[in-house]
Amino acid sequence: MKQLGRYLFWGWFLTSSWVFAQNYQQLIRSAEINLRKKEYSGAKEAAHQAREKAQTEEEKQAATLVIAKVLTEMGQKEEAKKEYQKILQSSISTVSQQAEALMGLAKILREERRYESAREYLARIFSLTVDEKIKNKALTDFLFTWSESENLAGLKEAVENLSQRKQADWPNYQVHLFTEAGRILSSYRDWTVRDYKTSRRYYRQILSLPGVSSEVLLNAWLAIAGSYVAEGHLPAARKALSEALHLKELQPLHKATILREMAKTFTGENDYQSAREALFRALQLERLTDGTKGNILAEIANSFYKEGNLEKMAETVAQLLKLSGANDRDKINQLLLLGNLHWEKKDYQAAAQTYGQVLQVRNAGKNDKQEAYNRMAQVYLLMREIAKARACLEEMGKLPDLTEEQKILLSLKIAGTYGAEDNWQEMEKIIKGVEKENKQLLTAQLIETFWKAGQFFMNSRDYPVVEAFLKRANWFRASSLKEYLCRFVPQAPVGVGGWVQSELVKDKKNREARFYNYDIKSAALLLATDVSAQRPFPEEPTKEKRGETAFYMCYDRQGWHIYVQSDEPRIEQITLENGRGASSLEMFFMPGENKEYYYQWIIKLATGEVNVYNYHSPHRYFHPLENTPGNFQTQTAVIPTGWGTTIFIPWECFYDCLPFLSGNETTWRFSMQRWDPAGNITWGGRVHETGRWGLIRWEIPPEQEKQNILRYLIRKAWYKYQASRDAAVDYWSCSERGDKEFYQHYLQPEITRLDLSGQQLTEIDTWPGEKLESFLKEIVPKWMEFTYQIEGLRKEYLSKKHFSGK
Amino acid sequence: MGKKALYGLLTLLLARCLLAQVRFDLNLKKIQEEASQLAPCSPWKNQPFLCYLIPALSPIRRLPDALPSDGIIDNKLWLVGAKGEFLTGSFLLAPWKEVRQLEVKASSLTRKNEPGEKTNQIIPAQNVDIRVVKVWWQTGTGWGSYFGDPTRRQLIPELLLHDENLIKVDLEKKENYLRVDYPKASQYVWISAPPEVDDGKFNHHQEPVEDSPHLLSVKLQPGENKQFWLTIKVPEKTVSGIYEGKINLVADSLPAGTIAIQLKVLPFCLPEPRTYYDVKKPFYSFMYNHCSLFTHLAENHGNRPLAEQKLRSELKNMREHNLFQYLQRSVRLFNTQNKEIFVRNLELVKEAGFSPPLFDAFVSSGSFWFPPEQTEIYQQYLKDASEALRLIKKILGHREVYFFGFDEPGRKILLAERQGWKDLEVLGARIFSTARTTSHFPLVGYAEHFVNCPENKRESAEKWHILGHKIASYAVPHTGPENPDLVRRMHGLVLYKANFDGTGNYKYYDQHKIWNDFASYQFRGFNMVYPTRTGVIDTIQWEGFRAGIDDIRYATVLKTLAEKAIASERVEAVYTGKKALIWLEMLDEAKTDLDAARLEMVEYILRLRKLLGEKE
Repeated sequence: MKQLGRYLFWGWFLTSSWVFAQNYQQLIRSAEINLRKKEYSGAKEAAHQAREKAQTEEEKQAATLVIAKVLTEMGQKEEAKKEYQKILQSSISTVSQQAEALMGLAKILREERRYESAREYLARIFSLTVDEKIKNKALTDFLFTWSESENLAGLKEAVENLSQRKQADWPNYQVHLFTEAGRILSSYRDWTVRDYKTSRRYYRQILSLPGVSSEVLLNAWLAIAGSYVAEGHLPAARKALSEALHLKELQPLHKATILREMAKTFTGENDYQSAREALFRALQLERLTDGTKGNILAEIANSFYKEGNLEKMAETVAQLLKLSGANDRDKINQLLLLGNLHWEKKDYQAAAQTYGQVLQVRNAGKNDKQEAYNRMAQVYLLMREIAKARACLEEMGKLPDLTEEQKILLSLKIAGTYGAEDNWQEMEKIIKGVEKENKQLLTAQLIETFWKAGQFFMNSRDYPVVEAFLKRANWFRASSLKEYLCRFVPQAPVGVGGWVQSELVKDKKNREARFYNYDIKSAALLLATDVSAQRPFPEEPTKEKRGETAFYMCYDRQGWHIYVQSDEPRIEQITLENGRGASSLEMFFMPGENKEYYYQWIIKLATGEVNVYNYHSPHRYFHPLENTPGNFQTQTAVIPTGWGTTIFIPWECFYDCLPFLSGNETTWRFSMQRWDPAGNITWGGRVHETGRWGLIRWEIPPEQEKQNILRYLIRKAWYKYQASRDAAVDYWSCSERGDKEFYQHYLQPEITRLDLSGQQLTEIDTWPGEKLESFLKEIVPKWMEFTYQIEGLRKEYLSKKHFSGK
Repeated sequence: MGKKALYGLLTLLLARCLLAQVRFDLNLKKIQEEASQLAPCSPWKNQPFLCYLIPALSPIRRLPDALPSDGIIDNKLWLVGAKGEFLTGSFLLAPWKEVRQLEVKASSLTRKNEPGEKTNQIIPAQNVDIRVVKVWWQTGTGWGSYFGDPTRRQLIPELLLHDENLIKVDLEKKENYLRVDYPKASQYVWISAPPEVDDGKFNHHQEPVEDSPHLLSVKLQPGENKQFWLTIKVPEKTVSGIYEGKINLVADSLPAGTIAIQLKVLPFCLPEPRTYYDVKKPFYSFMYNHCSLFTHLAENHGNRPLAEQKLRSELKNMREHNLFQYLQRSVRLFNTQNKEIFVRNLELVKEAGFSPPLFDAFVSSGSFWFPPEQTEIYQQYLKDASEALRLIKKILGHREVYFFGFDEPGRKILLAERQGWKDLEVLGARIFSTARTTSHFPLVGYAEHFVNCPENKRESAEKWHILGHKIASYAVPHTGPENPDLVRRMHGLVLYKANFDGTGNYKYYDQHKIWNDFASYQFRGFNMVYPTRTGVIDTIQWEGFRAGIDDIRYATVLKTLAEKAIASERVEAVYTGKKALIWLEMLDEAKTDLDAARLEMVEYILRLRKLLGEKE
C-alpha cells in the first residue's frame, strides 16, 4: 500500500507541475528549449501561449521574437517577417530585441537571395547601442552576404567604405572588419578565385592600427601566415611567423603556437628535421602547460611516424604518456599510430601492447576503446592467438552505449573468431542467433553488416571467415537476372514508322519496360572519369516527369532487330531547342554468356549520332560492329510519344555463334541504359557490368525458317568470298604489284579448294538441315574470313623465305 | 551449420571440383586424340605432352583447357628480327601425363655460317628468357576492356612469371592468391576478394613480393595446357644472319624433347619511331606513371636505397619496352617538393637513357593554382619553373620539356591556365595538356604545343598540325585490357597511320588496386605491369605494347628507305619505294594480322636496301 501511495503522490505532483508550468517564464523557456531541439511545433505552441500569458509589453515582444525565430526555422518566412516587423515597429521593444529582429529579417532575405535588402537591415544594427558581440555578428553577416552573392569585388569595395567609418562605441570595429573580410577572401568556397593577397593586406592593416593588444597582433600574423600556407607559399608563411616571434609581450604559449605553425610549414615541405627543430624549441619554453607540451610531443611523434622511425617515435610517445596533464586525444592518436607502425613492421606483439595502452588512457572514449580493441583483436588474429582476439572483442562488448548495429557487428566478429579456429559450427550458431534476434533489420543493413565483418577478417587474412561472411550476405541478395524472349518473325518491321505501326509493338507481350533507376553516384563517377566514351555530359536532374522507356526485339532471316521506344514528355521543347536536354541510349550485348568480348554503342536521340565500341581486336574469330550499310544500322525518329529508335545487326556478324543452332550458346547478355536529365535508368546493372545485365533468350525458329537463314548466310559468305578472292587475285597475280611466286604456290591452290566448295551451292536448296549446318561450320568461316586466310598464307610464305636462303 | 546446408555445401564443392576436372578431361581427350595421330617421326611422339608453336601476340585468349586453333604441333620456332630488338615467341605444352618437375632451358644461339665463312658469332643464353604465361582470374571484362566488372570472373592469360607459384590460382573457387615472402615464412594473400570486403590496397613498396630472376621448374597436369613465353634480346652489334639454338625440355629428370630456335637477324637496327606524316619528326612514346622517388619515398617511409633500386628497375623496364620518353610527375613549387629529390630523379632518368623531350616534370597550370594577381606566389611559381628548366638543362643536357597542364581541364580551368602558359612560353617552356580536339582547338589551341587526346583519328591530328603542334593519344583504351594484339594495334600502327605524334597512355601501373582486379565496380587496375618491391612483373599486354612501337619503328625504316629510293631517281628504286608507300597507306591497320604486316614491312625493307645498296 505504501508503494501505491508513493506512486499516487508522484503522479499528482508531476501532473500539477505541468499545470503550474504554464506561466509565462516557463512557457518561454520551453519554447526556447524546443527551438534548440528543433521541435518546432512544440516551440511555436509554447511561444504563442507565452505571448498570450505575457504580463508586460516587454514579455510580449520577447515572445514575438521567439515566434519569429521558430517560424523562420519552419520555413514560414512571410509569417516570420510579419512578426519581426511587429518588433521593429513597436516602441516598447528593447534595442537588443530590435537588433535581433533586424538580424532575423536579414537572415530570411539572405535565404531569398535578396542580399541588398539584407545588408540594409544589418547596417542598421551598426548604429544601435547594443553589445559589441551583436554588432560583430551583424558585421560578419553583412560581409558574408558578398560571399553568398559570389561578389568578392563588392566585398572589397564595401570593406574600403566601411574602413572609413568611425565607430567610437565599437572599440574593435576595424579589427573585426579586417579579420572577417580577410577570412572570407582566403577561404572562399571557390578556391580558384580566393584572394589571398587582399586578405593579407587586410590583416596587415590590423598590424598598423593604433593601440591593439599583442594578442590581436599575434592573431593577425597567424592569419597572414595561414593565408600563405593556404596558397602554398610556405617560406613566406615562415617569414610572417618569424615576424610574429618578435612581437612584444608574447606569452610562452603564444610563442609555442608560432613555433608549431612554423613546424607545419616544414612538414609541408617534407622537411621533418627542421619541423622537429622548431617543435623542440617550443618544448623548451617555460611555463607551458602539460596540454601544450603534449600537443608538441604529439607533433614530434607524428614526424617520426612519417619517417618510419619506430624507435624515436616510441621514445616520444613514452614521453607524452608521462605527462599527466597532456591532452588524452594526443595520447590516443599517437598510440594508435605507433601501434600501426609496429604492425607495418610485423611486430604484432608490440602492436597489441601499444593498442592496449589506449585503454589505460584516462579519458579514452567509447570509440577510442572500440578502435583499440578492434586493432588488438586483428593483430592477435595475425599472431594466431585467437582466444585473445576473442577476449578483446568480448571486452569491447562490455563498453557502454554501443548501438544495436555495433553490437550486431561485434557478435559477427566474435562468431568469426570461431571460424578462424575452424569451429564453424559455433560460428554458424552465433550467426543464426544474430539473424534471429535482429529480424527487424532491413536486408540491406544485414548484408552490409556481414560485409563489414568480412572486411575485419580481411585485415587479419582469415580468408575462410571472410568467405563465410560473403556467402552469408549473398544468401540475402537478389541474384536473378531479367530475361527477354527474342522471337522469330518472317519479316521484321522496317524503320521506325514500320515498328510504330507493327503488331509486334501492339502486342504487349513483346514489350519490355522493366527498367529501374541507375545508381546515380557511381554512374556520375564513371561519366566523369570515362573520357573515351562519347556520352553526354551529366546534367542536373530535372524535376519533370520522366518518360517511359521500353524495348522490343525480334529476329528474321537477315538478323537481329531491336526497337526502343523512349517516351519524352518534353519532346516539343527539345525539338524546338535543337535537341538540348535530350536523352541518349547506351546499349551493350555479348553474343553468349561466357564470351571474353562484348559490344557497346551510344545513340544520341536528338541528333541520331551513333558511336560504336568493340571490346576486342578484329581477327578471324571476332567480327567488329561497324556503323556502315550492311552492318550495324540504327535509325532514330520523333514519334508522337517521344523517340523511336531501331537497331539492326545482321547475322553475318555472328555466323559462328548463331544462338538458335545446337552447340552454340542460346542465351546472350544484354543491357541498356537511358541517360536522361529527368533520371537515368537501366534494364540491368551498370555500364560494362556484364554479370548484372539481363539475358536474351532466342526462340527456336521453325525448321524451314532456320534452314532459310543458313542458306541466306551461306550465299552471303560465298559472295563475300568471291569479292575478296577477285581482289586478291588481281593484286597478287600481278607481277608489278603482287608476288607471283606466292600467288602460284600458296594462294592459288587455296582458291581452287575454296572455289570447289562453292560449286556445291547449285544444289543448296535441296540440302537438308544437317548439311547446311556442317557447311556453315566448315566452309563458311573460310569464305567469310578469306582476307585473314590470305594473311596467314603470306606469313607462312615470308617466314619460310627468310630461312630458305632466297 | 545444419545438415542440409552442409550436404548442400559439400555437393556444391564436389560439383565445382568435378566441373573443373571435366573441363580438363575433355581437353585431355583431345590431346590424346591429337597425340594418337602424330606421325611416327614426330618429335613429340613419345613425350608426355604435345608442343604447339603459337603466335605470341595473338588476340586469341589461350586457356588451359583449349587447344590453340592457330597452333602447329612442331619443334621449330622461327623468329625474324632486327639488331637490338626484343623478339617474342611462344609455345604451348599440352600434357597428357603428369610432369611434376619440368625444366625448360634455352641454349645460346650460334650463327650459321655461309659457305666459306668462319665467324663464331653467338647470342648468349642469358639473352634468351623463358617465362610461364600465368592464367588467372580477372573480371568479366578483362580481355578487352578497362572497365570494372567484378560480377563475372574469367580466366585470362596475363602475367609473365619465372616462378609460376608466385600466384596461386584456385580453379574451383575462382580465386587468386599472391605469395608474399616474409622472412619467417611465405604467405599467400587473397587478391581476388570482391569490392565489398577489399579495396585492393597493397603496399608494394614494402611487402616482400618478388619473382624469381630465372625460370623455375613448372608442374604439368594431364589435360591442362601451359603456355611459355620466349623473349630474345638481340644485341645491337650482332652480325646479321641465321642463328640457331634450342630449348631443352626435361620432364622429371628425363629428356622430353627440344624445340629448335631459328632466328634470322636482319642487317639493320631499328631507329627510334618517327611519325607517318613526316619521317623526320619523332613519334613519342611515354606513359603516365607514379614511378618517382617522391612516391617511393613517401610510401616506404623514406628508405632511399630501396626507392632508388625500385625506380631504376622500373625505368629500365620502361626503356626496354619502347618507352623512349619519360613522363615525370610534375612539381608545382619547389618549396613543397624537395629540389634535391627532383634532381636525383632526373639523374636516374638520364642514366636510364630516355630521349628528349621530358614530359610533365613541372606544372603548367600555375596561373590556375596561383592567380597572377597574387603576385608574390605567382612570381615564385615562375621562378621555380625557370629553375626547373635550368635543372633539366643541367642534368639532361637539353631544355626540351613539356610542362603539364591541369588533367582533363574544363573550360573554366583552361581559361585560367592561359596567362601562365603565356608566361611560361616567354621562359622557353612548352605546354602539354590533356585535351579534346573539338573543345580545346578553337579555345586554347594556339597555346597547347602538345595535346594528349582520347582520340585516334586523322581529322584530329590534321587540326593540330596546322599549328605545328603535336598530338598524342590516351584512353582508347586506357591500359588494363590484357589482349596483347589490341594493345599492340591501338598503341602502334593505328596511331601511327592516324598521323599522331605519339602515345601517352594512362598508365604503367595502378596506384590504388594493384593486384586485385575485382576491388572496384568502376575500373579494373590500369596495369601494364605489376609492381613488386624492387621492380615489376611483365604482362603479355606490355609485350604487345613493345611490339606495337616496334611496328612503328619498322614502318619508320620502311618510309625512310622508300623516301631515299624515291630520291635516287633510279626508276626501279623509285617505283619500289612508291609501291612500299602505297602498300603502307592501303594497309588496314585496324584489322590486319599485325605479324603478317610486320613480315611484309621486312620484305619491302630488304628489297629497298638491296636496291639502294645499303650496307650492314
